[in-house]
Amino acid sequence: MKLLSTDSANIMIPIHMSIGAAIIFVMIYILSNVLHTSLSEIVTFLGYGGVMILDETTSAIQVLLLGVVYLPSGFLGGLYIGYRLNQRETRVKLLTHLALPSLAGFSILFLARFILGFLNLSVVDYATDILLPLSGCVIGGCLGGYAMNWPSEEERFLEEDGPAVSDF
Amino acid sequence: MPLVILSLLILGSCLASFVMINDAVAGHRVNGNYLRVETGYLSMKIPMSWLGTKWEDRGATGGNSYTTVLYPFGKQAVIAFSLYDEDATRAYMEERVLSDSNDMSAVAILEAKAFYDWIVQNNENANLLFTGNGTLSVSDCAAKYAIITVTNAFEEDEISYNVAGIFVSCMNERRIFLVTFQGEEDDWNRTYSDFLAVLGSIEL
Repeated sequence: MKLLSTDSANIMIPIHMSIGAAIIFVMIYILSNVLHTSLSEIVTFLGYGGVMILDETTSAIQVLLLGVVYLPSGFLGGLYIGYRLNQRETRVKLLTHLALPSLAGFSILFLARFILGFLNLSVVDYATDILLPLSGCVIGGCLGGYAMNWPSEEERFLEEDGPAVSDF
Repeated sequence: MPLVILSLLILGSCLASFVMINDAVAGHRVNGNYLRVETGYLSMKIPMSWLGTKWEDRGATGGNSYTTVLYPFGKQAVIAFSLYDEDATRAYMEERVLSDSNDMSAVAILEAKAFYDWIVQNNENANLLFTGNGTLSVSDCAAKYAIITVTNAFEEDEISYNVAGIFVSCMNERRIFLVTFQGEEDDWNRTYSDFLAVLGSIEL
C-alpha cells in the first residue's frame, strides 16, 4: 500500500472516493444488464419463460439483484478505495470513506435511471428502488474496503483486545 | 473474512431467489405445462414456455394503462394485453374521435391500421388486407375483432415475409381492453389455436 504525505493524501481522498463511486455505478449498469439478459435466456432455454410474469418472480429478481449486482458492485468500489486509503486510518474514517462513495454511486444510478426514463418518481417503490440498491452498495463497499485493509484490522484487533506482551 | 461474508451473501441470495421462483411455479402451475398468471387486472392461463413481461404506464392525462406481453416460444409472434383505466379510456376515445362502447369495431380496425402504418414506415411495399372481423367473448364481454394480413411486411435473407394479426377490443366497466396478436404469417397460423385458448381463459 502506497503511503502518501498527509496533505497530498487528504487531497487525493475525494478523488479516490469519486472514482470508487464511478466504479460502483458502472458495475451496477453492466451486471444488471448481464443478469437480466442471462435470466431471460436461461428461463427460455429451460422452457419456463412464463415465470417472468409472476409477481413472486419479480420479488425473487430483486433478491438476486441484491446478491449478484449491488453487493459485488459495492465490493469492487470498496476494494479500490480500500486499496488507495492509508492503512492506519481510524475505523470511523474508514467506514465514512467507504460508505460515502457507495451512497454517491447509488445516487448517480438513481439519477441516470430517472433521466433515461426508467424511473417514475410518482410510483417509486422505496424498498426495491432505494433501500435495496443503497444497502447493497454500502454493505458491499464496506466489505470491499475492509477486505483490502483486513491485515491492519487484525493487527488493530490484537492491539486493542489481545493479551498484553507483559502478561507472559 | 469480508470475502467469505460476501460469498455467503451472494450464495444466500441466489438460493433464496431460486426457492422463491420454484415455489411460485409450484403454486401457479395448472394442467401440466400451463401457468395461471394473475396480474393486477386480469387472470389467464398461459403455456409455461412462453416468455412474458408486464408494465404499467402512468399517462400524463392522469389515466393509467396496464400491459402484459407474451412471446410464444420459438415463434416470430407477440401477444399483448392492455387495459386502460377510465381516465385513460376517455383520453383514448377522444383522441380517436370515438364516442362510446359501440365503437369497439372501430377501435379494432384503428389498432390494425396503426400496426400497418408502423410496418409501412420500414417497408413501403407492404400491403394491407382485411381478412376477417366479427364478435367473440372475452371474460363475459362481447369483444369485436379484426383480422389482417400484411403482405411483403418484412424481408430476411432476401426473402419477403407476410405478417398476420388479430386485434380484439372490448369495453369492460368503462375500461377499454385490447388484445393484439401479430406475427410472421406461418408462425401466426401455427400459434392461433394456442392464442384462442389463452383468450378463452381470461378473467378480467
